[in-house]
Order: sequence, then structure tokens, then C-alpha cells
Amino acid sequence: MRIFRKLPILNLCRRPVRSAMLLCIAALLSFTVFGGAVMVSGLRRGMASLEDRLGADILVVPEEAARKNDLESIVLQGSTGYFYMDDSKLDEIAAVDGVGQSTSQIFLASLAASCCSAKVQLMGFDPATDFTVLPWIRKSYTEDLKEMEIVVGSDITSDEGDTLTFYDTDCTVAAKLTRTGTNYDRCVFAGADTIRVLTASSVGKKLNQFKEIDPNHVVSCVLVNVNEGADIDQVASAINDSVDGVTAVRTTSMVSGIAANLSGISHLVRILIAGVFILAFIILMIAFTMLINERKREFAILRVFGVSRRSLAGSVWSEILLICLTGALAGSAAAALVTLPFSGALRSRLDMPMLSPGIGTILLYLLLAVLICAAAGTLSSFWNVSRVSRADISLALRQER
Amino acid sequence: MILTADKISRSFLRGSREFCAVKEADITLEGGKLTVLRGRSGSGKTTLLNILAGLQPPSSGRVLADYGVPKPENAPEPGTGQRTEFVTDLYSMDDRTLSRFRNDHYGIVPQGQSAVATLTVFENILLPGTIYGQDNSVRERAHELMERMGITDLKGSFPKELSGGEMRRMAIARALIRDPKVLFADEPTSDLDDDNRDTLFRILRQIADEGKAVFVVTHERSASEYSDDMYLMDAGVLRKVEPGQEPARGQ
Repeated sequence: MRIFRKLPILNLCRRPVRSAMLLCIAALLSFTVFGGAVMVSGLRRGMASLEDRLGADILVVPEEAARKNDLESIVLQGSTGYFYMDDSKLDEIAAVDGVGQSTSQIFLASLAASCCSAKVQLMGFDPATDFTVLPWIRKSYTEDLKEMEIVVGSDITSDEGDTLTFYDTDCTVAAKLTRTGTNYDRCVFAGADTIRVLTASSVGKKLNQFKEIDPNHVVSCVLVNVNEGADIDQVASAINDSVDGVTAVRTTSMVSGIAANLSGISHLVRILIAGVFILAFIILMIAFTMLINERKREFAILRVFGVSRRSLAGSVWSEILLICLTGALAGSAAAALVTLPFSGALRSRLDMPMLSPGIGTILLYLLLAVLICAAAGTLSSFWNVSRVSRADISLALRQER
Repeated sequence: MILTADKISRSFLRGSREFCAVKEADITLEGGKLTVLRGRSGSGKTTLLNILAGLQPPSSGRVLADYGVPKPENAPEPGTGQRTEFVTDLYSMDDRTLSRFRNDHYGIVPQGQSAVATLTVFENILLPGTIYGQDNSVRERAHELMERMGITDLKGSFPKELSGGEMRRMAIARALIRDPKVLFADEPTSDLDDDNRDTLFRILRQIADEGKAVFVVTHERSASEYSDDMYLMDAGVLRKVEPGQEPARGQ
């Protein structure tokens, strides 16, 4: 390769400290852009996934479980709460005016003890009436669940055909679900028959106490879809009025709450990216001005040898773009290492659903980070490169001989 | 090649006052001749060299490069980016053509430190030869020049590791890499001891004897021993002096 063509690379390699400092600024910018974009995208996907999973207009729980925090974690995070009511409530709720579909779910906790394969959340649903869990399960498993067959969330380390034991009762894994970015990923799902057997087993082990409720007729919550044209708030209110001992809440109000939070976080991330862009732009501009001023005589020498204005500008641009592109890739790689493997930790910290974006989106964000870095480098040095390529050679040669 | 300056002047603004660094200078540089230009600091010597070297346009006048070949019919006009093998006014060319002209025909040793700090001695010497062509064609010549200048052992050294004399010899080797027709050297012996100074002038004399036009700007009185033509410059006025007719020191 021609020495003149290699000059930008040689300048970077043979001035490692200077190059590393400039590279760090570019890396910081791309870290923020890429990391921020991946995080916001993850939260948006988590939100969309949650909305897909939610599928019910109203959630009905026993009065004792109606604390707002508990409800939000059930609705928004897919957390299970260990509270119970009699299944006769399902019939009472179904009888309320405006109620269309209704189905019940049971939540059980397994133990990290010898009786259980792992400490997980068990969720029982009724395949005959379910309209929230089953459509999701159908994406991974199209057959009907047989007795003692279970479906596991994506975070459960078991595969199809494996056997899991809960309360000394063996269950076979029929399918594994796609990732949602919510606590559903750590749940085990079972049909009505299987969950009744597991409930009885847990009672036999003096676990999951149901107080005065008959374990064979226990449910944790009821999910309701209202009839077309019915007002959800009015139906929820009617359930609260006509069914004793329960609290009905509109799920979409909670979703809109988390959507507002998400919008706030997105806005903050956008401000952060803009702030870092401006900061990086100013720092790069100062750095490139110093760098180019320091090397004004060197550039004049190149002109003396016969390098045209355009070639000189091209050579300086190449050096600047090399710094920005290398920094952008390094920063994006660092951001990917932080955001992608630790999305679970971020999800817990933010207390919001989070689902890492697909490879296509990640590559798109990488391209965006690289382009923004290249734009920051190009714009911040535009004036200086133009100035140096048009400089009076004789004047520049007089500097610091 | 014969390089002719035809009544060139160069003025600058110093504050609100106009200052004339070169006043209607005429000078001709011919192949095989070593031309020395002496004068006090600030007399306009470097400005004249820069104008002749295509680095600084004159305020008035022309710099003509005569290739010694009759102008062919349908010859391309200057500034079209094509080679013009006849008499050309340097400053009628556009930047790209003039830059290429400098690379093709000139070897320039600028005043002071002129090495690219991040390149080794060998890479510095190769550099002008690689701007418009491949390394391979000039590698052999770079080795020959390093040997001729006595800097072969410094091939992999960086400029900061060189002495002043070594740096100047490297600069001359670099200026010769494209086998130029004209060699310009601006104060090539400043800050050098007597031995290094004599060595450099001997090298420049040899280069002129090989057929190149050599133009040296210097303070050194001893330069006249090596020169074919001698010019003096005083307050922008250029004057040719015959050998032995130089003014005494202090005049």
C-alpha cells in the first residue's frame, strides 16, 4: 500500500495516546447512542409483548390483594401473587352485565427444596375458557395440554420432553414459550387438571395454605373481557358493586401508566443522547482544532511534496473518520456488552418489561451510532479541515521551524 | 528544464501598510547550474524561492517553466489537468495541476525541520514518490539515495532520533526521490557545523553536475565556492553578482 494512502493509519498507530483519547470521546458518544437506543427499544418491545400477553380488559382479585403495587406487578410484570378466592366468584363475575369472556387463573409457588426441581411460579389456567395465556402458548405448542403436561417460560432451563417435579409430583414439559421480557418468562404454565393435582400435592405438604377455601375450588384471579360496546370502567364498577370480597381493576389504565413512564424514559434517553452529542461535538471540535493547528506545518510539507488541496483534505478526513468509526464500533460493542446480557438486571432495576431487540434492529442501531459518530467527527472538524487544505503554504512553513 | 521568473513581485499587508517582499525580480534557473541566493534575514529570499517553487503566487509577473520542447499543435491549455510539455506559466495552472507539477518536476528542501514525525526515515524519503504512484517504483531509488547521503543505517529511525545534519540529508534524499529537474533548498545548512555544511554543499554541487537546476537560499558566504550563479537580495531587490564581486561582510 502507498505510504501516502497509509499515512492516516500510521498517524493513528504511531500516536497511540493521542489516538486513544480521541477514540474514547467517539466511543462515549456511540455508547450513549447505541446503548440508549437498545434500551428504549427493549422497553418498547417489552411493553408491546406485555400488551400482547395482557389480553384482558379487567383483572379481578381478592380484596386482600388489591394493593396497587401488587396489582401492577401482576398486570404489568406477569408476577404471580399468592392470594386466593373461591371459584364460585367466577360464576358471579360472569353474571355481571357487560361481562363477555371470563376465565380464572391460579398462582402457586414451588420451593427450592427436595420436593421441587426449582423455585418457580406456577400458573394454572383453564384451557376451556382461557383467552390470555393460550393464544400465546399456541405460538409454541398447538396441541392440547394433557394431564401433567406443562409449558415453561423461556427463562426456565428445561426443554421439551424434560420432567420437572413440583411437590414430589412429576410433570412433563410439552413446550417452551417465546421470550416476553416479563416475569412470565420465569413461570410454569399448567392446565386446569394438572394445577388441581399440584394444588392438592402442595396442600399435602402443608404449603400454599388456602385458609377456609376448599383447595379444589380455589382461584387467584379472574380475567374479564367486556362485551363489545360495553364501558370497561362501568363493568369494573358493576363487578365491585355486585360481587363481595373482590376488587376489579381496569388493566389498560395501568398499561397507560407504564406507557407514560416509558415515554418519560425515552424522552430522557433522547435528551441524554443530544447532550452527549453536543458535548462530544464540542470536545471533538476542540481536539481536532488543536490537532490540526499542531500539525499545520506537517500539512504544509505535504503540500510542498505535491499533495493537492483535495488530497490533503481527503487524508485528514480519513484520519478523523478512522478515529470516529473505530471509536463508534468500540463504544457500541461496549454498550452491547452492557445492555444485551444484562437486560434482565435493567428490567429489574427499571421495574418495567424489557425485551432485547432482534439482530436486525441491533445492526440498524449500530449503523445509526456509527453514522452519528461520523457526523459528529465530520461536522466538528469541517471548518478546520477546510482551513488547513486552503492554508497559504508559505505562511504555514514559517511556523515553528 | 529552464525556469524563468519574469518581473515577479510580491507584496503583503503588514497592518494597514503594504510591504513589498520581492520587487520585479528576474531570474533564470538552468539545468546543470547551482544558483545561490544570499541576503539578510527578511530580505525576501524565501518568498522568492516559494514563488519559484510554485508555493506562493506572485502579486505580479510570471514564472515560466520551459521544458525545452516546442509547443505541439492542439496542445492542452494549462489548468486542464493534462501534462503540458512546453512553456508553462506555473500560476496559470489550477491547484491540482500545479501540485502534480511540483511532484513531477521539483524537489524542495524546506527551511528547518520538515520531516513527517510519524514516518521513519525510509518512509519519509518514499513519501513524495507515493503520492501519485506505487511504492515499488521508488523503493530502489530510496535505498540508493540513502546510501548516497550516508543515512542507510537510519532507515528505520524516526525524525526525532536524527541530528540536524542527518535530518537535512534525509530532506535532500526525499527531494530527489522523484528525480526532479529543479531542486530548491531553503537554508539547508542553517544550524549545521562546518563539516556538515561542507558535506551538504558538496552534495548539492554533485546534484547540479548531474544536470539538475539547483537553487539554494542561504546565509553562508562559503556557498559562493560551489555556485555557478550568485544572487544577492536586499529589501526585495534581486541583484546578480559575479563571483568575487560580493560585498564584504557588513556591507
